[in-house]
Amino acid sequence: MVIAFLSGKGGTGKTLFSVNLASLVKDSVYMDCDVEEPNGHLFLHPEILNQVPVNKIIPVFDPDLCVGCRQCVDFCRYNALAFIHNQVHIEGSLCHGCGGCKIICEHQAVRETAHEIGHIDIGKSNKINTMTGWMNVIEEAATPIIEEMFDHVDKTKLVFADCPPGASCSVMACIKNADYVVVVAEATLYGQENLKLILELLTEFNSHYGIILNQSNTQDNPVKRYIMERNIPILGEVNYELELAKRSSMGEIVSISKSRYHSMFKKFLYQILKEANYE
Amino acid sequence: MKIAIPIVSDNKPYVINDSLARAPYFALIDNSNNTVKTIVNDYYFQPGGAGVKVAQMLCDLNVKVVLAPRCGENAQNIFNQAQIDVYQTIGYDLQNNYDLFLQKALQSILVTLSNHHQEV
Ligand code: SF4
Ligand code: SF4
Repeated sequence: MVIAFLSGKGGTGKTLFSVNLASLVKDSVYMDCDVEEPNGHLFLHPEILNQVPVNKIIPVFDPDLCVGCRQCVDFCRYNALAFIHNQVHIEGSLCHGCGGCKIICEHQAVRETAHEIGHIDIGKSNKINTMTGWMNVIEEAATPIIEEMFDHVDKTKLVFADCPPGASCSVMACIKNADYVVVVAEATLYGQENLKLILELLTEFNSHYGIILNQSNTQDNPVKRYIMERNIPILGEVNYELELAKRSSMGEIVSISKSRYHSMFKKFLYQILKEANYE
Repeated sequence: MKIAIPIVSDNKPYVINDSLARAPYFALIDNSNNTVKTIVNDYYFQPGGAGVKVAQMLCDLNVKVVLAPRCGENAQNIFNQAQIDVYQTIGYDLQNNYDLFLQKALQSILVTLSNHHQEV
């Protein structure tokens, strides 16, 4: 079963929850899908057992065979191609590797090559399995890496997927692959705007989800009001605590190291598994 | 030589548009006969890769210099390839920027492959 941890914006505590909860379940998988900036490894320090490259297929144009008809340029709906100085020029970051230009070219001037856009680290940390996606710095499309991670992961295990922030294509890839979604929301006005976006997306995907309210001890709590008005299940609330913030910022997995937090996260875990109908 | 400048509308006096790829119009100045023509940007509504398309269009129009407030990376790459120089405008007045360009008072936005800008 895949449980995806989402948030409308960064810094709401997605990683804190997914790392601490995964650490409570023996042989679970912690999957870091925030491939632009994975940070779960800073808590788990996994031993890397295997590294899987993720490739994108990109076209290469043979200037000797190309007759300059521009069929490929006109065809590419991602506008990745231009015809400059009698040669096809490709903007690699825009190319989605759809293969269309190769099919459309009547002069066999297009070849395809594999281009590495990132990799997946597969490892172990104590009793849990880890998977970390990494996107190469110059790349723009995170989705193929995330899709590849979901293809690889053993879904018979309990998988805790730490997803990218926001509501982009890469977040949609996570939602699509999740059996249950936990939204970690921050109780601020700004948090509310971001939450709205993510909830719209979840409704569109018909997802099964609940919300964890982080730092909910603010006096005026617009997010909580918003959630209650809509009858969305609240899986639990955490108040801001200096000790928790401090320990976590040092990369400590508090659900293992401190008994007080152990019971707190255990409660969350049971609540999530109950809502997700996990047996 | 043809010089392209993104503009807000085709009404005079021409005002420079903030974005290059998403400019509604372009002013094309031909300094060989001192004429100014305006063209519609057909790629204004493109969801992605508008920079590439605009750069291709300007390249096909035989433009050698672009004056704009800024230039996205995709368009920059194409301009580089096409040896089109891009200079950063100051303020939004077209005539003023064209004069500054002629006085060589505008800074190049990119490091072009050509040394073309030293010749103009
Ligand atoms: S379709 Fe083929 S021949 Fe035509 S421009 Fe593209 S690569 Fe060249
Ligand atoms: S593979 Fe697809 S996206 Fe990439 S350049 Fe060719 S047509 Fe465009």
